[in-house]
Amino acid sequence: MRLRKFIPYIFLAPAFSIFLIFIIYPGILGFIVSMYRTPYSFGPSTFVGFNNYFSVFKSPGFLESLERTFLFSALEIPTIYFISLGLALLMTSPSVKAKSVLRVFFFLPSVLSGVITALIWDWMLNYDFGFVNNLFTILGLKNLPFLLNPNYAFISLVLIMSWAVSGFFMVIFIAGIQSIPTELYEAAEIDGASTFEKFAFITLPMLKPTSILVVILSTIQSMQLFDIPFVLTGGGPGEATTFAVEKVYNTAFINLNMGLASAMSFILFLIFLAIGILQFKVSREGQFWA
Amino acid sequence: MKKLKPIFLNILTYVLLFVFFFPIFWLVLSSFKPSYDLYAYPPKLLSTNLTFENYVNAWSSGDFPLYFMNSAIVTISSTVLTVAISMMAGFALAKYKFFGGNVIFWTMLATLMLPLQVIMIPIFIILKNFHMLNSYLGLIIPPSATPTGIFLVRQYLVSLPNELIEFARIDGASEWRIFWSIIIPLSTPVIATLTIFSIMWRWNDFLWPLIVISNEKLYTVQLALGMFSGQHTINWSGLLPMTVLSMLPIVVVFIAFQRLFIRGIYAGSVK
Repeated sequence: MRLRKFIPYIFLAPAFSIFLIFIIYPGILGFIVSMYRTPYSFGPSTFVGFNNYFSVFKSPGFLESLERTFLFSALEIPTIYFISLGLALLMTSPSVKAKSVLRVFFFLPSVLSGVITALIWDWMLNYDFGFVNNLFTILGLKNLPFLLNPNYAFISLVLIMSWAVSGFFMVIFIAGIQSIPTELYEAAEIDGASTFEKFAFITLPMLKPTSILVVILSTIQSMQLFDIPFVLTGGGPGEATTFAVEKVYNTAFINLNMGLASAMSFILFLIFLAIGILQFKVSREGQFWA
Repeated sequence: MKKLKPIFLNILTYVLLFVFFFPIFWLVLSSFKPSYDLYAYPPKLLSTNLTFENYVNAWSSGDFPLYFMNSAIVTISSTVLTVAISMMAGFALAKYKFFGGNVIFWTMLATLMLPLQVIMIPIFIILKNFHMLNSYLGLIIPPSATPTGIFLVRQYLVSLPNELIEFARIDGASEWRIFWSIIIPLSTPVIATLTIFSIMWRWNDFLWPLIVISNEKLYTVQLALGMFSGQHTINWSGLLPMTVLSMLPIVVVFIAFQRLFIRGIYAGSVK
């Protein structure tokens, strides 16, 4: 009978030990490493206190990559929001037929890996023989350097990521739309409300908790984006699509400056933490989505 | 006006369908084109002679079968491990009251704040010290513990009536037996959801193998595709069929188990 007290700990042990060794301990170790000047994970390293943190702000490109990440997210979040809400409205509209089949196609890109997404669009947008430029050639238009010009590449990435994740957010919006009581619409119709009025005064306000969830999740995904630009543009041309996470990766594994990269990671962690706290607070206040 | 609206909405839907689906279709179609059609000038949108040649060449030259094997080994083992440890942990958190239970639950959820993107450097150092770099173990074990998995299981089990467990205890069943013969059989929906998601996460993973693996013989499919496409001259006629093959397992699983995907997203979006 006394043994029984230990049983939940035994059930928890496998999962918790992996958390401890491979997530929590690294979290602490990362902070410690950020206090050292270390040429690599081995070799002599010197304690430098917070010096790496000062160096971060002087190190070429980090602040720019952070700024780029924020700009990217600022464009990405509304793009995702409007596309996925639009899809969800179409996929719940009585005028559209065969919705359950169509949904599958819209969701399909969301199950593909970042690498595959990158390759699909690398092939579509290739300057010399991509589909889009081929079409332009046939139509007698000039080819566009989608991935070769810094601004085009940046915008292309915003659109490619929306392509990749909008189906996922569409599903969340559909759940939100379907949970709105139909009585509200019936009452509005009796009062003679137009389609637009029903959308603006019933659907949109009732979707507020869903919208918050979508905005928060898409913020996290945009800020942490790594694989699509890494494979598609390699962060280029120049550093036009080098976002914060890739900057950390390059600093650690290309320039082999683990200490400096750890300091960058910690700054990223603080930013993600702030978003996480916001998420927690908001979801506490509005536990409507279920 | 009343008749125009449905027409407009349907046109819009099919335009969007084209945007979402055509790139995938184009990739698949291109993978069957002979290379002289891939790079043809003036460009050919349609090709008359589709062939399996690219597939045969890509599969027989190079190490792609090996990469598929690596991906399969990692995906299957990691998924089995994820389901096992998430079930156990979720069961403990849902059905026992014990000292520290809440703290452990919130600690595990809080690790969502430490994505791999933030801890990749210390992970690399730790795996190096454990001699787990360039090994299956390094690919399989660390990512198998996921807060999302434990959270999903816990939420599901909380809704199961406690009486089931209490009656079994009165009948003298051991705790392990309760877990194995009552909880597991009743948990098939959440196990199915978690399995599907784990398969997708592990098969699609790129950053994790990128950090753990440098030996080409241990590349997963995604890592191989990512590394080869980064080279200066991309061999498209080799890369296209491999890209198609690498997305095939996930697309098949998705089409077969759409409902589970959708349910998983709903359940996950509650947090």
